[in-house]
Amino acid sequence: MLKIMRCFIYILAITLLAGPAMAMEKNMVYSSPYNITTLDPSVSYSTESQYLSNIYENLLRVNPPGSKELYTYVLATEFSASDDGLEYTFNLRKGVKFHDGTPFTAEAVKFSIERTTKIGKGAAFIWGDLKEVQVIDDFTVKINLKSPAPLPMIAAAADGSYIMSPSVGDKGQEWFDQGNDAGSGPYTLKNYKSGESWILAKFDDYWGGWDGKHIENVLVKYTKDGLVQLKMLQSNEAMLAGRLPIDSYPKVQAAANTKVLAGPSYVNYMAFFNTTRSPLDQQLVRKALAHAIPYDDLVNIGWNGAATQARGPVPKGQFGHTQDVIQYEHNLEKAKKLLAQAGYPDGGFKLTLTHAAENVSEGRIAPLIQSEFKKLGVEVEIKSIVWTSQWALAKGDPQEAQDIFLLMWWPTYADPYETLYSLLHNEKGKPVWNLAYYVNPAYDKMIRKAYEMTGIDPDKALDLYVQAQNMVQKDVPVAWLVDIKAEWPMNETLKGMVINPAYPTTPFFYDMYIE
Amino acid sequence: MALPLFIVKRLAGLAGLLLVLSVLVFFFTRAIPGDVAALYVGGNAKQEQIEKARIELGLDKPLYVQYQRYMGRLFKGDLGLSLRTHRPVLKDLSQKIPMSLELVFLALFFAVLLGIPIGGIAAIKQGTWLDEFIKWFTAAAVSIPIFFLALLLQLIFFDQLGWFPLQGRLDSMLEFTHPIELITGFSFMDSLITKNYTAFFNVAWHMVLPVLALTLGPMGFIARLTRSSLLEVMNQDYILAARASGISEYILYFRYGLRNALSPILTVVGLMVALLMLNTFFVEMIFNWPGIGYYALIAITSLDFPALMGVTFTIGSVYVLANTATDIMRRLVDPRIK
Repeated sequence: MLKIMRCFIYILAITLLAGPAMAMEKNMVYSSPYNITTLDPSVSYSTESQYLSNIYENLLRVNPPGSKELYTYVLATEFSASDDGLEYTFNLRKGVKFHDGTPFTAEAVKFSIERTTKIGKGAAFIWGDLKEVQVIDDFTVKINLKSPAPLPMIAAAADGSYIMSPSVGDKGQEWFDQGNDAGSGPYTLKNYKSGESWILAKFDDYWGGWDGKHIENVLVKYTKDGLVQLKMLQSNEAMLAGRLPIDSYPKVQAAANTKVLAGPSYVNYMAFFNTTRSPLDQQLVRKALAHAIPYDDLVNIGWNGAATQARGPVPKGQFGHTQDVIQYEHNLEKAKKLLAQAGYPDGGFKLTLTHAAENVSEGRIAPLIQSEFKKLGVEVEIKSIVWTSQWALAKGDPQEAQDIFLLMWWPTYADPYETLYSLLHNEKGKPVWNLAYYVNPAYDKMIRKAYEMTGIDPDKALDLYVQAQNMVQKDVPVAWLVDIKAEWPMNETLKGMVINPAYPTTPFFYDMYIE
Repeated sequence: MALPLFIVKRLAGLAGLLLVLSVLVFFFTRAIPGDVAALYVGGNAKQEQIEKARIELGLDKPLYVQYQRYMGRLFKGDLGLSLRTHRPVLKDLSQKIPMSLELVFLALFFAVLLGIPIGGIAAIKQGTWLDEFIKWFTAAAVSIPIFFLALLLQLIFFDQLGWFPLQGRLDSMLEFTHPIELITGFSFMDSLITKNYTAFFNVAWHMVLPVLALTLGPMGFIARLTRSSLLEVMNQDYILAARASGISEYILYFRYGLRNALSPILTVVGLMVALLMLNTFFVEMIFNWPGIGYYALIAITSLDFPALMGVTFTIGSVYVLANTATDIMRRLVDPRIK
């Protein structure tokens, strides 16, 4: 009798425990530190793109480096460019429906691009070279440009190029921010509670279909604190987390129920030298300091090894990154010699370095740089301030600003022009991102030329990009520190995730499944 | 002073206080270096966009003009747009405040409900081991930092024992199967109105640890105050007279003594509301509770000053209103106060 009772209790316990687990097989919880600022696909230009990229689709998607093809065709099935690079014709996918039931046609492409450029917010600047969008027929659209630009990259951008249902009409940002969506992607937004949680729910009529293994519903639980995310992951409450405390990654990797998926990202870190003020206005001094940075230590201590030393401004894997770009190695002897040549044989000057207080990695690498510079007799005062203040101080008068500015950067789309332009072009006394306050007209011209050549003659464009980068590398207005790897902590049973550096913060849930 | 007049005076005082607060917060937040327009635009903002946003937000005008405009809109009940969420601050707050008040009221309720009897027992058993124990326990409850207590509770009751959930308002599973429909914003009430009992009990289960973390400090404080206030009252002549007439000790303490000792305790309860609001900053962060403390903390780190103004007004109002309410209660309990 006792045996039967015990059996009964076991069965009861197993059903109770397995019940929720079984129901969760196609549903998952994502503990995410990334909030939503707006759900308007035309305006969005922040962390919410990782949700919008699951709700909306682009014409194309850039594949991760090393893939056979450069693009995955999403809403487009084919495209061709005119010889002068001013006209791009896209053939569109048939049988696609938006979440509101409206069929997808060329009108939707025209509507979306025009809505985004008309509002002119967020990442709308990526359409800066657009002349007009022409509907040829229901499934063919022609995009005309004012000047040549790598349009396929722009059409595949993580922000600013989502295609939405024309039924949106005149509805504004408020309509979207109430939790509505007008996408064609695999998921539709449900139960939106701003700053708390929302569900990416399966869209039954998705053109890609639901055969095979896919996650069907994702509950996104907004969780700012890394420690809470860690605990949710460890207790199997969450299948995926965003950003854990930096020291916990090895532990998560080693645990039986969790793992860390690592892959390339286009995120990099750099140190801007204030080129307007002595002694950093001297190229030799900057070169010496670039040789004094302990790059390997930065990688190991700042990012627990999940990074590589940067080679110029363009991150590893992106078009424009080659071995031909000059790289500065850690070499204190060389640094000392260069400093002596510049007239500072024993250093003897002081520099201020600012970094964002909320960036843990920057907080770790700043003292490493400080102690190496000290060996040259260069004193560094580290100022750890909140990002908003760090940036605001740097944007004021360069004569009053910091000497060294640490910055984390990522591109809006997978083309090097934005990075090379934003970080180093002449901002004419109104600094925004060129926090070295660097001015080089030849460089400005060369990168523009490369940008225009990208669609027409990629080899020539690459050559120009390399020349431009080496021009900068000889001048050393910036020390390029590291290219970091993307790291996603997740449950051991979660499979199928592909890290794509062109969309560094986006988990594409449709590719994922639980085993 | 008659009661209605007293209330009117207090509310006028509240308006004055909020005005002073508005000036302080407005000018202090602007004194911190930070480019608000650039924050509003977000991402790898471009120069032209930042300038456009600066004009759109009126940040190109002198500070006093900006303040004038802000106050002008405020009188129409418009707190402006949050720089971070891009939603009306009023809308954000109306969603977050109920979630915090739920915690604060429950914590206050338990702090009073447990604090007064515990203090009373300590007073009756003055000098015994029980009194010593209560003194030690309440001292610990008052002095333990709230964030440490919250983490400790998590460590014991989630990590070790697994009795209570780690974070949030509702089990993740229930977000799919029994989501709470937002009506009043109070999850307890909303789940009851919609007859969503599964969610109701689940919310209650999730509330235990955050409410416990919030309760302990005020409870300790109230218990200690009750003890000392009661002991003072018990030395009065009329108590001696009552005792001489043979009334039982418990009736003596809890009916005659406590009523007279209550006035200072009630004053403290008003203060406790302010303390609790402040403590929600830590508790909500640790328990991932989407209330006003969590909202404020993020607003501070992202220099979202319209949101910060909104939070300041809210907490200022709650503080004044709570104090007014306690003063009214004191007048009702103790006719000597006029």
